[in-house]
Amino acid sequence: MMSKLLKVLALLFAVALVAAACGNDDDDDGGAAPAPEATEAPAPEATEAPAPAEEDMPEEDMAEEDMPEEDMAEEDMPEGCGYATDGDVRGVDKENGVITIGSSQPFTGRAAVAGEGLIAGIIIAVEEVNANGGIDGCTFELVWEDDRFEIEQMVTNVRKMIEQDNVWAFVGTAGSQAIPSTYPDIEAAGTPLWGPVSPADQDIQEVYLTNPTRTEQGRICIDHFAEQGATKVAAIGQDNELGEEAFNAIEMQAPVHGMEIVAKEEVEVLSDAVAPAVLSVIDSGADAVLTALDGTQNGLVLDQFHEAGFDPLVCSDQGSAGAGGQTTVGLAVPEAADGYLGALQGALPDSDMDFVQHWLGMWEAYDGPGAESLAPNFSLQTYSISRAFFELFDRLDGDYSYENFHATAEAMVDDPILIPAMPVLACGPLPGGHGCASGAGISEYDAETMTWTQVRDFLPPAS
Amino acid sequence: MDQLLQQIVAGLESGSSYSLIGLAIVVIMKSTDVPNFAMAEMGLVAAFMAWFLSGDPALGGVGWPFWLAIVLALAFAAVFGAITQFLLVRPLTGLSNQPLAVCASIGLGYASVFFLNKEGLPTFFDWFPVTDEGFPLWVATIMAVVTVALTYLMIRYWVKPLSKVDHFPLLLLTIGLNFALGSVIENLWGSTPKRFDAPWSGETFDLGNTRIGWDQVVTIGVGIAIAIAMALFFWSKWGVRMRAIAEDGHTARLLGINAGRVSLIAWAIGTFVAGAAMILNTSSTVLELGSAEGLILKGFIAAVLGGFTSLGGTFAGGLLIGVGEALAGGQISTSLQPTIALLVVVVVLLVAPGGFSRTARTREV
Repeated sequence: MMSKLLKVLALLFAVALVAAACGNDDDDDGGAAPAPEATEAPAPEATEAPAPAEEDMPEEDMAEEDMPEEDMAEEDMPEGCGYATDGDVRGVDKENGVITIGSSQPFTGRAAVAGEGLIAGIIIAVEEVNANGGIDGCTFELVWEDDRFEIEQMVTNVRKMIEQDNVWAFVGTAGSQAIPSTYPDIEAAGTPLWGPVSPADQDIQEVYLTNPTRTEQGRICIDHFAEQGATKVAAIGQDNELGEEAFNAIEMQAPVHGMEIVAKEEVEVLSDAVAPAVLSVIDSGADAVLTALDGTQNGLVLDQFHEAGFDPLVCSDQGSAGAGGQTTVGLAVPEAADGYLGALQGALPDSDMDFVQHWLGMWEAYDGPGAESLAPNFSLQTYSISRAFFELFDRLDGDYSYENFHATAEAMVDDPILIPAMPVLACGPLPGGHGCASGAGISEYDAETMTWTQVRDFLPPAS
Repeated sequence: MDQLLQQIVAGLESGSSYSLIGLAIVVIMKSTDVPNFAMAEMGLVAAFMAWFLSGDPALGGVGWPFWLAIVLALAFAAVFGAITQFLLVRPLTGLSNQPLAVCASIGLGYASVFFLNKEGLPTFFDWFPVTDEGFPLWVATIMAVVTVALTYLMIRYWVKPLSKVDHFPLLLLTIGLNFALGSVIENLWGSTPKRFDAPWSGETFDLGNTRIGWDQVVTIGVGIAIAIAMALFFWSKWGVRMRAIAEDGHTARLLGINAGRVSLIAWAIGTFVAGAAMILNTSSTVLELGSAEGLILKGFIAAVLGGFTSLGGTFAGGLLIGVGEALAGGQISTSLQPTIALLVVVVVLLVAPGGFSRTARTREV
C-alpha cells in the first residue's frame, strides 16, 4: 500500500516538474519563442490604462482625423457599448463595454518571422484604440493563438476562439494557404473575418479581404515588367494555391501587354530543390520572372540566377518578397538581391507618410509579443488592417449585429474607408464585393543601402 | 547539351545529400534494426551547431573559423548520436535504463532549481495554497533534490527495460525524437531561416559553356568520399561485427559480439554522416527548421533502393533520385518532377524488389 502511494506521489511530482522544466518560458532570457498561452491582449481592465505619453507619439498621432471617432465626446455614446444592439451577440459584452476579437497567427514555426510582426501590429492597434477610450463606449479585448503555420492548429484555434472565447470577429488572421480551411467554421458560426492576409477571394459572406490578392499583385508585377520593356515572361510557383495564383496572374496579364509566356515552372512546397525550375527558366530566355514561392525559395532562386549570370527582372507578391524587410533578400547574396521587386499591399515601413510615422512611433515603443520581430513591415500591414476594422466598427453606430456589420461593410463601395497606408477599401455585396481592395504598388530592393523603395504607385492592374 | 549537364550536376548535388541521409539510415538499421525517422533532424542539429560556432556574432553566432566549427560540429554529431543510443535506445533493446535514469533525474533537477526559484509551481498548481512567486533558492534546491530522487526511482523501477527487443517502441522513439529535436532547435536558434555560408558558397567556374557552382562540386565530392569511407569501415573489425549483427543478431551475440557497443558506434557514425549531409545541404541552400523534412523522405527512398543493407545501392539510389528529379523537371515538366522521380523508384523496385542490393532480405514485420 505504502509503495503504491509512494509511486502515485512520485508520478505527480515528476509530471509537475517535467511541466515546470519544459513549460512557460515567459522569462525573457528563455528561448526564442514566447509561450502562446501568455499572449492574450490586455484584459478589459488594462484598457483603462492612461494613454501613452505624448512624447511617445509623433504630434500628428494625436490628430483627430487620424483616428476613428472613438476619443469622442460623451454625446456620441448615448447608452454605452452596443446601445443599438438588440439582444445578445457573441463577443459583445454590453454590460462591461467589451468587444472580444480574435486572431490566429504563426507566432512560432516556419512563418514566425512574419507572424511575430503580424500579431504585434494588431496588438498595437488594439492598445491604441483602448488607450484613446475605445469606440462608442466599447473597449476591445484581443484573444490570439499561435497556429505555427499548421492548418490543423489554425482550425483548432479558430474553433476555440469561436466556441470558448466567444470572439465577435477575427482580424488579420494570417496564413494564406491555410485560411480557407477555417472558412467552414467561420461560416457556420457567422463570425466575420476581417482582413485575412492574402488568400484568394472565395466569395464567403463572412470574409472580407482588405488587401489585393496574390493574383492581383502578380498582375501588377507584370504591368511593371511591361513598362520596363520586358517581352518574355516566366513564372515559378509552388505546387499549391500560391503557385496557382501566379500562373493565373501571368495568364491574365501577359496577353494584355502582348508578352510571350515562355515558362511556367513548379517547385514543391517546403523544398529547397529549386534548381530544375531555375534552369528551365534560364533556358527559356525569359527577361522577367514572376515568383510565387516562400521567402527561402525566393532567396535561393535569386542566388541561382545570379550564379548562372542570368539577370532578369524578378518580382514576387509582398508576403513572399518580404518587401520592406530583410526576410527574403537577407537569404540571398547582396548582388543577387539587388533590384529584386516586391509588390506592395501597403506602404513601406520607412515611408515618411504621417500614418506610417505614427505607427513607427508606437512600434518603437512597443515591447509586447513580437516586439523582437525582424520584419516590422508585417506589423504595419496588420496595424493598417486593424485601423480599418475600427473605422468600420465606428460606422456601426452601436448596432453590433452581424446583419448590420455586413450591411455597413458592403456599403463601403459607396463610402470607402481610406487608410493612408493601404489601397482604398471599398467592399461591396457578393459576388466579388468582398475583395475590398484593388491595386498594389511595386517596390525595389537596393542591396547597397539595404532598403526598399516604392517605384510604382498603387494602381489597379491594366486591362 | 549545356542545359543537360547543368541538370545532371544539380541532380547529383541533391542526390548526394539524399544518399548520405540514406547511408546514415542504413548504418543504424544494420545495428539496431530500426528505421530512424529522426536521422535528418539529428543531422540538422549538427548543422545548426556548425552555423552557431562559425556564425557572425552580430547574428547570434560565436565567430570561430569555419573549419574549426565544422570539425567541432561533426564531433558533436557523433557524440550526440552515441548519447542518444546510450540513453534512449538501450532501454528499448533490453539493456539497462540506469544511464537514462541518472541523466534524466539530474537534468530535471537542474532545470527545476531555476524554474522553482524564478516561477514557483507550474500554473496548474494554482489551487495549491502557496505563493505564486518563485521560491527562495534554498527551498527550490531542496525541492529539486527531491525531484532528482523521485525521478530516478521512477525510471529505475517503473520504466523497465524491455525483456525482448521490439521494433515498434524504437520506431515510435525515433518519430518522437524527430519532433522533439525540432522544438529544441527552434528554442535554441529561432525559426528565422539563416544563410550558412561556406568558403565556397557562391563561387562558380565554367566547364565549357556550363557554369558549375563549387558548392555542387564539394557536395558531390564529399558524398562520394564518405560513401567510400563507410564501405571501408564495413571491412574493419567493428564493421564486420556490425554486418554480423545485421545478418543474424542472435547468433552474433552468442558468438560474444557486444551488440550494445556495436549499436552505439553505429549511432555515432550515422549521426556523423547525417550531420555532414545537412551541413553540405544547408550551406548550399538555407539553414532553417524545415531543412530536414524533404531530405528524410528522399533518404528513406534511397535506403529502400539499397534494400536497407547495401551501402553502394543506397548511395546509387540517392543519386538516381536526385538526377531523376532534375531531369524530369528540366526535360519534361517541373510539375511532374516529384512524381516521375518516385515512379523511377517504383519501377526499380518492381524489377528488383531488393533494390540495388545483391540479395533481398527477408524481414519479419
